[in-house]
Amino acid sequence: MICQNCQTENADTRKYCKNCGDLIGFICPKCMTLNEFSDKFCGNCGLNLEKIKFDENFVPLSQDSVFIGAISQYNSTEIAELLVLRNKIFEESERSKTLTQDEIDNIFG
Amino acid sequence: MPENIEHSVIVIDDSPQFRVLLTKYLKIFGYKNILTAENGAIGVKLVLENSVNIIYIDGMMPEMDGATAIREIRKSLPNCVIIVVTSISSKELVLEFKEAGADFYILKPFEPDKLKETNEKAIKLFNERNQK
Repeated sequence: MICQNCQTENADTRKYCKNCGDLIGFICPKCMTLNEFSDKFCGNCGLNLEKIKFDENFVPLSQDSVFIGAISQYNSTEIAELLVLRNKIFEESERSKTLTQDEIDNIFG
Repeated sequence: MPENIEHSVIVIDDSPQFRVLLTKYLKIFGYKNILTAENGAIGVKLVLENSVNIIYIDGMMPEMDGATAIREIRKSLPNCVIIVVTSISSKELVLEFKEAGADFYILKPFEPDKLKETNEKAIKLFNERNQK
C-alpha cells in the first residue's frame, strides 16, 4: 500500500508506514478493517467508504480513538443517517454564528 | 455648517433614547426632514404616506419586526434606501434582512464615523437609483 502522507510503498501487511509512521490506508469506521485508501467499499463489511472520504466534515478515526467503540455499534445505514444529522447540525451552527461588522459589510457588499 | 440634505429620512426604533441619538446625528449630517416611529407598523405607515427616501430601522420591535416592515416598504418603494441598525449579529438574521430588502446594516453600538460613512453611501445609492 502507498502511504498517503509520504508516498512510500509499504507491504500490504503493514498498518503503519515504514518511513513516516503514519497510518496506511483507510480504516473502516464501522468494522475497523484496514482498507486501501483508493478502495470504494470496505472489504469486510461493504460500507461505502467513498461517501465518507469525500464528506468534507469527516475526520478519519485513528485505531485508538475513543469513538471507535461507539461507532462500531451502528450499521452502515445508521452511520449514513448520523452523517446526515451531523451535517445538518453543522449547517445550523453556521447559520446561527454571530458576525462582526466587517463580515456583515462583506455580505452587503 | 453641514450642507442641507433635502432627502426625507426616518428613524424607526422602539428605544426613545436611540431615536433621539440617531436624530441628533442625522441633524449634524444636514438632514432637515427627519421623521421618527416607535415601531414597525407606525414606521411603515409613515414611510408610505411620506414616500421617505432614506430609512433607518431597528431589527427587533413590537407590533412589526424590522424584516417584515422592510418587506412591506419594498412592495411600494423599491427605490428607497434601507439601513438596518441593530444589535442582532446572527448570520441567519443578517441574511434574512438582506433578503427582505435592506441595503446596509450597522451593528449597535456603532462608531459615529461608521454611521456617517453609511449615510453618505445611502444618499449616493438613492441618487443612483432615482436617476434611472
